[in-house]
Amino acid sequence: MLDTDLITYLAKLSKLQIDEADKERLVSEMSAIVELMDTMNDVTFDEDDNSKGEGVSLVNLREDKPRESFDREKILANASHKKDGFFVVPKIME
Amino acid sequence: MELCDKSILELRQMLDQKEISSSELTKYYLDRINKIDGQINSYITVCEEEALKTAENADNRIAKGEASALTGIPISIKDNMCTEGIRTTCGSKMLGNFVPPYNATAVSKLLAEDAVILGKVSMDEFAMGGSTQTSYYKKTTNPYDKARVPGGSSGGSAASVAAKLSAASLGSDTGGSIRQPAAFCGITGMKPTYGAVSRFGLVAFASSFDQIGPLAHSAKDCAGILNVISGHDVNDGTSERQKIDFSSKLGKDIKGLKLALPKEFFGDGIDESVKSAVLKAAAEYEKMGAKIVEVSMPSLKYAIAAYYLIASAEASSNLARYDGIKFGYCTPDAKTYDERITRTRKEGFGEEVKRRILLGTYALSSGYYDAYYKKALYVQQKIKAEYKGIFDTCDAIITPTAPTTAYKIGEIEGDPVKMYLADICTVTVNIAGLPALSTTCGYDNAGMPIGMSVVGKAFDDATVLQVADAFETSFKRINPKL
Repeated sequence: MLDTDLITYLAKLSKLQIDEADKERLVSEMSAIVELMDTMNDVTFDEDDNSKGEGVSLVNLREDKPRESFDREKILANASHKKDGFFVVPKIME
Repeated sequence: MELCDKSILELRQMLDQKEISSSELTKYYLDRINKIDGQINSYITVCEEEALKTAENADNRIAKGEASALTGIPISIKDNMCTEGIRTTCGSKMLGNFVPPYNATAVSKLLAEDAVILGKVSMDEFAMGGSTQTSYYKKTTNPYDKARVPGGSSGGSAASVAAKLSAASLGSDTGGSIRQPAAFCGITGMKPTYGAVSRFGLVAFASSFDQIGPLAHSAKDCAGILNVISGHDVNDGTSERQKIDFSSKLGKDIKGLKLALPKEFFGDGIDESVKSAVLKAAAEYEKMGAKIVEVSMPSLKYAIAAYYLIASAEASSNLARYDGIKFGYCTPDAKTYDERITRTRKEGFGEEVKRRILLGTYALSSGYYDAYYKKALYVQQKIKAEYKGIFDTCDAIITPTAPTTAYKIGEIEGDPVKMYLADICTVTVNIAGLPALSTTCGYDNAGMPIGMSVVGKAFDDATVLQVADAFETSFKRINPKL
C-alpha cells in the first residue's frame, strides 16, 4: 500500500526533495497510477519464461579504440560552478 | 497553390530548377513563423541567423549541381535533439540554459546535406506526455482548433508542419509521441523500426523504446527524410547495421497485400467517429485489392501497464544525470552536495516528470521488482510473440492511432491515469520495436483530423510507407484555417 513513508523512501532513492505538503497529493496520484499497473496482476508466468528481456546486444559495440573527445572548455561551459578546468561541488568531507 | 502547400519533392524540383532559391524559401518560412506562430506557439527557439546561413550554403551547392534530397529544405527539430551551439531545452526548466557542444547524429545528417534548420519546436517536458501542455516553455495548440491540444509529446513538430511553418519536422517517439500528434494535427508521422535511426544526441527518456522519425505532409516526404537520417552509427550501440530503403515500395500496387485489423483496437473506449473512419479506410484498401483479415492481440489489455513500467524504470535511471553539477539548471545557495542534487531536481523537473521518476524507482525497488518490472518484461515478450503471429500471415496491421481526436486543453491532462490510457493504440509498437506510421483518414464532426496507423514487421518500413502512400494518393486533406 502506498503511503507517505513509501513516498519519502522513493524520493530518497530518486534524489528528489519533496515537501511534506505535497506527499499526500502524491500518495493519491501514485496510488491511482499503481492501480493501473496492477492490471497485470492476473498475468502469471513461469520462471523458465524469458522474462528478463533481451538486454542490449554486445555484437554492435564500436571498436575499443581511443578517440578524440570533447574540448574541456566546451563541456564546462554548461556547468554552473567550475574552477581551473573542473566542476565544483559543495564540500563533501570536512 | 501556395509555396507552403508543396511537398518536399516539389520544393526539391523548384530549387533545382532555380525557380526559387533556398534563401528565398527560408525567408518565406521565417516570415510565416513570425506572422502565424503566435497563434499556436510551436517554436521554442527560432534559428534565423543559422537558417539563413545554411540556406546560403545550400544555394551554392545547388548552383554547383551538388544538391542532395534535403538540400535547402526548411525543417524544424523537436527540442530534445542536440544542436551544437543552439539551446536544447527538452521542454524543461532543467535544461533551460543547456547549449549542446555537439549535434545529434540525425541533425548532423540533415546539416551534411545543408537542410535548413528553422528552429527548435516545443514538446512535453522530457517527452513525457501526449498534449504538449507540460512544456515549461510553449504550450502549443492545435492549428485546427486553438482551444485543443496538438497531441504530444512531439506537439510542436506536428503543429509546425500542420500550420505550414516548416516543410517537415523531426520528432521522437517513445510510446506514440510522433504518431499521436501527427494524428491530432492531420499530418503524417512515422516511427521507424527501433535502431533504424541513431539515438546519439537525442535526450534519453526510455532508451529501449526511443526512436527519432519524421513528421511531414505525406508518407513520400517521410520516406525521403528517413533515407537521409537513418543508418548505423558507432555512437549508438543500438543502431542497426541493416540498411533500409524507405522509398523502395512507394507507388507499388498493394493488390494482394494482407492487412490485419486486430479486433481489440476497435473495442470499447475508441470513439465511434475514429472507429468508422479507420474501417472506411480499410474498405478503401479492399477496393484497391488488399485483403482485410480480422486478427486478435489478447495482451493489449496489459500493454499500458507494461509500457509505463518499463518506460518509467528506464526514465528514472536516465534522468539520474540531472544533478545540477555537469549541465542544466542548478539550485542557488545549496549548502551540501546532497542538497544541491535533491533541490535542483525538485525545482528543475515538472510534476509529470517527477511522477514517472517515482514510478520507475518504485518498479525497480527491492520488493516490487518481480511484481512490476519483471512482469512487464514478460508482457513485452507476449506482445512481441502476438505481433509475430500476426505477421506470419499478414503484411501490415491497420489500427486507429488514438482513441479520440484532439481534445480540449485542460480536459484530461490533469489526470495522469486518463492520459496514460489514451496511449493504448500506440505503445505496443514501441514495446515490440516495430515501424509504424500515422496518416489522416478522415475528420470528425468538429472538423478535427482522425489518424490511422499502419504497422509493419521490423525492417519492413518500406511496406508501411507503401500502404500509407496508397491511401494518401486518393485521400483529400483539409487544411487548417489560420
